[in-house]
Amino acid sequence: MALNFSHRPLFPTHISEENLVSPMRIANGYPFEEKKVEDCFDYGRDYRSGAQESSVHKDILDLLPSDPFGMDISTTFTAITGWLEDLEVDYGGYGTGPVGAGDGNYSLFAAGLNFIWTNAMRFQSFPGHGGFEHKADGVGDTGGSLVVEEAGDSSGIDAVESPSEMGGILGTGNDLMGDSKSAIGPQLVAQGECGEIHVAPSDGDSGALHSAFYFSLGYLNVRDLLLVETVCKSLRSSVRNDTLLWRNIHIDQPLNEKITDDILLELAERAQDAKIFFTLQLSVPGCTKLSIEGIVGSLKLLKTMGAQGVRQLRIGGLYGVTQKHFEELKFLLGMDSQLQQNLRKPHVYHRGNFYLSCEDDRAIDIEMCPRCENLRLIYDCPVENCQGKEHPTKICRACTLCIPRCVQCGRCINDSEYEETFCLECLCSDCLKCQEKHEKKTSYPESSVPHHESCSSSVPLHG
Amino acid sequence: MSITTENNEKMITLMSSDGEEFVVEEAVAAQSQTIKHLIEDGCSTEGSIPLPNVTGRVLSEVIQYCKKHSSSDDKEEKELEAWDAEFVKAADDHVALTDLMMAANFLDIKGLLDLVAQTLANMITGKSPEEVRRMWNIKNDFTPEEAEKVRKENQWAFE
Repeated sequence: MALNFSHRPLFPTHISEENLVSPMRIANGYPFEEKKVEDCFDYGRDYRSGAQESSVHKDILDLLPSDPFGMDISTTFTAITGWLEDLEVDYGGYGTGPVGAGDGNYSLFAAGLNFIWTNAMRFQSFPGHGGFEHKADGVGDTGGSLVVEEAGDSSGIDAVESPSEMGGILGTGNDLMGDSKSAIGPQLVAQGECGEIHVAPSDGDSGALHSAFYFSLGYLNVRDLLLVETVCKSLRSSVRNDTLLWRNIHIDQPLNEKITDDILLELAERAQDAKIFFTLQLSVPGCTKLSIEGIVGSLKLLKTMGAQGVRQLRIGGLYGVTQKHFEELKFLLGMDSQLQQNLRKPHVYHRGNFYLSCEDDRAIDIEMCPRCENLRLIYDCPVENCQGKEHPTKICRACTLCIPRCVQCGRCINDSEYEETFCLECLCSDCLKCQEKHEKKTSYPESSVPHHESCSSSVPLHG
Repeated sequence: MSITTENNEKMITLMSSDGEEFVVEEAVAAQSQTIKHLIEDGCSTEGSIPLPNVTGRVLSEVIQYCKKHSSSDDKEEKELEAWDAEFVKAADDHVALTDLMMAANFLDIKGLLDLVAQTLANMITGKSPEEVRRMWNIKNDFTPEEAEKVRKENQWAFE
């Protein structure tokens, strides 16, 4: 049977044989010629949209044999009716209600088709509007064959699994009302008027799964974004061209030990390609293969785009930062050094908090150590009287080389007792006692992680 | 139908795509911005609010979430987080989560959307491209040359 109505197959995987609604079944009770079936639907449409009987109607009626293939026509109708009932179950209220069940002027058969058509229209006005969205002439010209396709496809899928974007549906319902008001139930009219129209990126050939996938992209880290890129073409272009995804480039485990200057530059180019108009965040602490020159280069590249460029930079314990680099970075970040000083919140050294988080307002995480004047990460002391206001020169604030600090609580251990751990980290006597106490309490080794937390939580960590 | 309970809480009837009706308190339904706007515009005054692209199964889950989150403003955040974690765990697989996400998107429930999107993202994390394809039923449409190029480009991250 040469009834190929699917000009653009929307839901290739979902249509079961049983649910292939219109084309097949109707064709069973009607000449197998595609043209005529389409005419039939045209006829249905005209009737439904309130048009007066046109010559087409009459032609069809004249053409219609009462039982063209000598089939038992009433049996066919039973089939159609049963099938319509299925549709009503599937679609709740939308398939029911006043339908164009024909009046005396039409033959029984025509009325049947009419009924089908009306239902088809109702379907597509809700879940299956994808075809309209993607066909240029979709809404304006609801051609018969297109509609058949929609009806067939829609019925084969669950409403929620429709690949059409959920958000746009209400809006489309509204659009459709323009030319098919009479067919759409009162609920839809109400919805079309009240509903909020969401516009989400849509990919006509991908299902709801893909839409969900796209939503999740924003929650992936750089490594997983790079992975998703290699999955398929459309994902590759989505990932590469989505400005928001590259807004914050945070390189953390395990990429920090792998990323090189060249790769950083490549990522920066990507952000550049995406024509970012937002403030960028670049966070590369602990990236041992990066050089300060590479970072400066990437920042320069992003700055040249006329966009805002990077506004927040986290380089962590990067070596070899000279005063010249620092000045350059400050310029590239558009920093006001005065502001930087005033807004500073204390940054306390402890395990898991070595690097300054991006939640801090500071544009850059390093600054000049008040003691050695090197450009490093600077830590504040959590012990209150250490932050003496009277003697600013003696303020307990410096890089970890100038002031060694406890890895648990971050307090300075210049004058107090401490112990060096196996990893050459320092532990102040308080934290050491706390740790020993905990080890006694729970002697099995799995406790090593929780003890760390419980110990450090007893000490004020953030100033 | 808008009925009021003894607490004088207005009730809203939501109807799923498969015709299932759910009667919920307005405060619960209004967790969904979409429904909230419909209520504000007076669409709930007669009959139920039809939600043509949310099935009953998904809608009941969504309502479960909304109930929890509308009633637990004063509760501890941690408890709610734990509840959320259990909630997405119960959704079981990525297909169910996808349904949930599409519903959350349509109904405009930001918290739920974030929760599910994060959960789906966690499912992608650490997978190989092939695993991602299989899981999401995505066809690898790169030509062998393109695939090689893409692989080389991102090789550094996966060595």
